[in-house]
Amino acid sequence: MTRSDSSLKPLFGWAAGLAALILLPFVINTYIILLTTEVMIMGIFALSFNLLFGYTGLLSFGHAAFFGMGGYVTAYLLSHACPSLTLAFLTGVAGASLTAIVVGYLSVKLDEIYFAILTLGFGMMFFSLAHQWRSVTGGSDGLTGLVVPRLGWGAFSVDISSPWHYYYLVVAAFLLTVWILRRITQSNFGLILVSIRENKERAAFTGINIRAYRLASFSIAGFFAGVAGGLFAVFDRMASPSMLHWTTSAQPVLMTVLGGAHTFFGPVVGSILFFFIEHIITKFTDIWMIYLGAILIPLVIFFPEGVLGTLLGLKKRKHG
Amino acid sequence: MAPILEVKNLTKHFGKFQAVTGVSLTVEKGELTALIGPNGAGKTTFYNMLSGKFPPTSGKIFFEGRDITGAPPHKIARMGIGRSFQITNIFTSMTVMENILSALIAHHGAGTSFFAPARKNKKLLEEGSKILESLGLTPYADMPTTQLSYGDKRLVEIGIVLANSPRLVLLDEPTAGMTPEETERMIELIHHLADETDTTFFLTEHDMKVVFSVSKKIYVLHQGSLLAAGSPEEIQKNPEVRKAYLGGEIHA
Ligand SMILES: Nc1ncnc2c1ncn2[C@@H]1O[C@H](COP(=O)(O)OP(=O)(O)O)[C@@H](O)[C@H]1O
Ligand SMILES: [Mg+2]
Repeated sequence: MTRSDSSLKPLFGWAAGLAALILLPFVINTYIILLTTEVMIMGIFALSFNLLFGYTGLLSFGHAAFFGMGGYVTAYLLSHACPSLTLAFLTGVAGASLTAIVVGYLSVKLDEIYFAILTLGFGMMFFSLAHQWRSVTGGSDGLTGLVVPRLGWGAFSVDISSPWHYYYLVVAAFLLTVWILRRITQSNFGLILVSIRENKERAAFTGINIRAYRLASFSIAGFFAGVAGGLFAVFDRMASPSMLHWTTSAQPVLMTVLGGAHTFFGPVVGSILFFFIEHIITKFTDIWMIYLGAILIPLVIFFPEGVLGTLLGLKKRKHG
Repeated sequence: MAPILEVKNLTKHFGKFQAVTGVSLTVEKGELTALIGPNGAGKTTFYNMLSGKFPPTSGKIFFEGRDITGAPPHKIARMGIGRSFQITNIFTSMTVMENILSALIAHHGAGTSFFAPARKNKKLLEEGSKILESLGLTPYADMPTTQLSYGDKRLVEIGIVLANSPRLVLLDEPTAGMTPEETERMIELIHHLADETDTTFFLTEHDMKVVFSVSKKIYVLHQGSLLAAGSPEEIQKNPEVRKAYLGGEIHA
């Protein structure tokens, strides 16, 4: 393979992916459009989680806290006559980021299982809060009755209540997230995160302030989880406690393990597989989680690098 | 000239056990110094205090006249003290060059660059290539460290340390577990680096033969206390040192 070939190849992949996402609505029905929208939102959520898990080596079991915070703040504003969708959404993302900074500050001191348990604890705390604080959160019913304003200003605005329009909005958010997170993981900062994951003792004795980097990673992850949460609330026209439930925290974990934590797109592939498996199995049974478990266990045992990770590994071995 | 490192009365207790007891010593700038002692003497514990892994129970550590006692590892590293570990400590699944790049980024305080690709940074790559060349690791630059020989892995760790441009380097048994050829190569390298650069090297060893040829000054640690200090010749003649080593090991 020549040099120009190898540098053009990824560009080709990006162009193909972009074209597919843009053209998809012309060939599929509304149901699949909605499903793909949800897959992309959860893909953003899983990618944000993997900055922490795959790149920084921190397994968070409370990532739904920031997803939920983004969702609730956005939903609160939209159910209280906020005139601007952008404003509601950005406030949601800001709320998620601030929450992540505080939770992260208190959590990143700890390692491994202790970190996992502490983040799980914080996640449960936010769930109870949403459940109990009825006047603000709507309790177990959640926040409903969202009024979704047009996106943009005056003549340059679109109504996003149509699934197609919202699909394209989510495509834009998804691509932007992918691009930014990809740049971050390949930057100096990203390389330092990986070295912390690989060997935090060596990193510390190399002059790296582990806590500061972990906190930065945690906050960025919280930011993008907030993006996913805000998009999800608008998509669902509501924010409910299930957004904050620990099983929602488990979703990006499962998706990432399914797709592969050590490849950038692993979590995206994982979220596609997750929805695919869910929708096939729920056609036959309601207790789909049991079947998902039955599929996951052999996957984790035989494909510890995830589906995408294993495929890329095979390709590498064949070519090199 | 003031010593680059001055340690006063350093003591470390683990519960009731005294791993290091009242050790005072100095390392002069540019003078290759060794801390020797049999296994369990307290050498690693001593280095752990110098490099900030844990604070001493009592005593003081001065680096270039500054009190660094109890400072955390990353701060001590940023001040200019680098260290290697007795058990090889590198960024395992990363490539050799990535190992060096991480240390270079840390050294330049460039970790807050969130957007420019690290592996395409010409300036850092050039610096990294120079370090790899000085260690003879150039052919392995893009190889994951898992594929390297044991001796080369230990060289990668030296590379990480050098990338921080430290003024004082602590090497904890740099030849531990090496074959005789690897040991010779490592000793030659340390000798070379000590001569060619401004960096001061301070290393530990349990095998005295290794250090006699390169050190200017030797401290002997025995059961946590300093037993002797002096030039290699003086140490070789010292009867107490001979006794501590049971006579057998000093034939350098
Ligand atoms: N973290 C620790 N906790 C308890 N005991 C320790 C610890 N680190 C070292 N020791 C003990 O201190 C003594 C000195 O160990 P060490 O400093 O590793 O010696 P050396 O490096 O000279 O072989 C040993 O008896 C060891 O078991
Ligand atoms: Mg030791």
